[in-house]
Amino acid sequence: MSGLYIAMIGAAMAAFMAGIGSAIGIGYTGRAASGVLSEAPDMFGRLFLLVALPGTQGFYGFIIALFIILKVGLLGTPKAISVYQGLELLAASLPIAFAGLLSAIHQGKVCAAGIDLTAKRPDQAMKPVIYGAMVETYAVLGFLTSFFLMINIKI
Amino acid sequence: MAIVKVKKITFVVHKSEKDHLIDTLQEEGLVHISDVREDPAFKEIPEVKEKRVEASAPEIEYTLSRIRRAVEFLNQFDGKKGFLETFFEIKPEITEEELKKVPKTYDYEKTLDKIEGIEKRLTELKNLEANLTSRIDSLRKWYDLDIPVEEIGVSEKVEIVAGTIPANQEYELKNIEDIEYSVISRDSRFVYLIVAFLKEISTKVKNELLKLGFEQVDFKGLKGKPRELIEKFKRELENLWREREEKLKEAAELAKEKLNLLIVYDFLSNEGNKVRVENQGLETKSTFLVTGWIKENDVKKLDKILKKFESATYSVEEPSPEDNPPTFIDNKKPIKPFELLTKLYGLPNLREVDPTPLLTPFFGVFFGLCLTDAGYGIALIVMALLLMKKLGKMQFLSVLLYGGIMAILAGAITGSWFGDLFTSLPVPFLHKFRNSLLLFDPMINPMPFFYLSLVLGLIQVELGLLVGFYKRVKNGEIIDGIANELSWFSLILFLIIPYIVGAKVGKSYGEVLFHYGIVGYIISFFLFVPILLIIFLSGGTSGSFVVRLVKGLYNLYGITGYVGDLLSYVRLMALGMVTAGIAMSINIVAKLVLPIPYLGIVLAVLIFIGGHLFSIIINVMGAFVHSLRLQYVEFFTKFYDNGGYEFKPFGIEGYYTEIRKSA
Repeated sequence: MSGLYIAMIGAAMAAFMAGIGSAIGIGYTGRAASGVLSEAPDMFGRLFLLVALPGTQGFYGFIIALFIILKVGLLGTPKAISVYQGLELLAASLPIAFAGLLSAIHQGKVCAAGIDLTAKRPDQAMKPVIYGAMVETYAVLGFLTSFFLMINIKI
Repeated sequence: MAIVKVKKITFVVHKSEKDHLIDTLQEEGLVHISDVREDPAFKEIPEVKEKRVEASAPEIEYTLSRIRRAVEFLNQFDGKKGFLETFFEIKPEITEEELKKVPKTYDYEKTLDKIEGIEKRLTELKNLEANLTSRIDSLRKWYDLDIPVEEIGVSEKVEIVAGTIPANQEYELKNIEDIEYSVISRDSRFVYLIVAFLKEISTKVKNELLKLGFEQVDFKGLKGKPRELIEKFKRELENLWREREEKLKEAAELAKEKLNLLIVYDFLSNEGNKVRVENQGLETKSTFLVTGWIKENDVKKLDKILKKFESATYSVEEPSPEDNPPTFIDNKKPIKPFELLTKLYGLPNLREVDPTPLLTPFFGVFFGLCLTDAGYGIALIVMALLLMKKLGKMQFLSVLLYGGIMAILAGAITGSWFGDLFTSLPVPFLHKFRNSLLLFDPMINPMPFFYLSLVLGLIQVELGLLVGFYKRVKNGEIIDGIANELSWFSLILFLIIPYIVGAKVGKSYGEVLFHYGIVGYIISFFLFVPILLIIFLSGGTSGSFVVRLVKGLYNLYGITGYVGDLLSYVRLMALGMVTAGIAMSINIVAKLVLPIPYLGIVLAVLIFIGGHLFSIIINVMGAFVHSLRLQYVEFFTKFYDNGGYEFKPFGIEGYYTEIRKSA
């Protein structure tokens, strides 16, 4: 059995799990923001950041997936990957897959609350963004862990 | 340096010059007016205590709210808002002369009446329309009824009723005796019919009909055959539509006068502010007193102005400890835009330091590292300059401009130009150019980036601690300063130094501390003394020795917090790598579509431009948020307490418009 399949599972997990997280997160923020816009259409710009913030996890996952794809040569001629190397790559994908999935969902909730705050007090738009960034920290750490694990796998 | 000294100022004038004084103060815009009721020097005076709390002039407020409503209504006819305007507020520019002239010459009451009339009529039309449509809808079922509806009802001998019964009951009708009925129409649920019977048996027939689920339909107030009625209503509906079109046209015409309304609004709101100031002062039988705050350098200017008054006197004092003066921060030009970031967090109070000059270099560098792409940096600068041309020199845009410059530097040393564009294009010059500026390539060797992030974090955290120590000294808490900020400063630094020294001379961590001669002892001293200081001194001065010791030990546990703070800076690297990754993937996809015949090149260019534009927006957002967070969460917590409020001089303000001072 080739380790390539396992590596591909890893790349897929990084991309789709973090992606699901971001999609759910923006799902929350987008709904909250649309509710606000129905009353105050001028708030679009001010709410933009809060709506988009939970989207970054999807990118973190995607980048790790891309690095794995490049590493195993899927875009050119696939390299020979042993089962162990495949498992290593799968392991490397897990931190961002899970940290991304869950942090994006919770960040979405934090940002949706922030959107409510901004709706009531438009001058406070930046403060909830900082709370959102606090949740994001753990996605960043997940990304870094995945990244360091991945670049140190010898192929 | 950067917090401007403000002084407390108290004006007293003769009542006759009250309005003149308030006018003058507003025109000059030098004084931040405070409420006498909140002033420690005055609030205990009985006259102040009993002072009625009045809102600003109610008539003005009423007109203001009318204008606000009218403007909101007119906004629908004002043409589409540009994409930019959803992100930035763009106010029309007017001059002070216009501000004064327009409200006198322009009959805004008439316009407001007109607008309100239109608005009201439009709502009425909407209701009428809904009414008519529902009538037409219900008459449609009776379209084939060939008698005028007024004939339905009781006549001399016969009674005719119209109504519905459930569709499944239709055959039961045959069982009712002595009636004539005619089905007009059917739908899936009901049968629409008229029933005729003799007046004498009305009750009996009606009862039987009810048993079948008959529901009578009333055509009260209508005359004519349903067919004609529908036509008539349709005509009425068309008239309504025509009228609505006319009203909308009128509204669109009035929308051209919106600017005048905005000017009137700003004029009136400034008038309202005057009343507010009047209410914040104190009026006695013959004098008027008002207090406020003024920047130290402005006192002279004010003195000159007040000389023109016959009865005005004022006194300037230093703020007393009970006072809560407003804060005005003023920085030199390159730092100025970053005041925005300080204000976002909250202004310092007068006894604080202004963190703006401290955070500026860090924010710039962090922003650059989060973006880490020279191409994006150039694009960001171009965008910021274009926006500046359109929107004026906004502080936010200047911050982006500096950030863009730093991103170019960070991108150049890591070899990132629109991701890996320069290395993936077969142009040898670009390779050479990139490599000539390259310091390290994080895609191949990411560790330097990692260490760079940590070192920057170390510098910022240590600086924060030093500033915190300086603040303690300034406030006379030297012991606390040594036991907390200074100890941590030394502890963190000398916790790390043995690693670096050890790696240089090939010794283990312990060997550096204990078997490295005099240098080792010095390092040990600066490492262990702070630990002892934290344990024994940082617990404060109250409570028993044991309690203080426990507190001190708990404080030492704060080391985990500092480790977390330092690691938090690794996000700089993570975001930098993400930028590179996204940019690279865009380049890869653009390259993938290139071999498609004919279309390939077009698609590739589209993907390249669109993709990178998107990537710039996403990454700039991330860079901004995370650089800011590092200032607020990791840096400010070491020394900064906000709690000031902004020095807002009473002056001419534009809510809807940008008022240019006349020369």
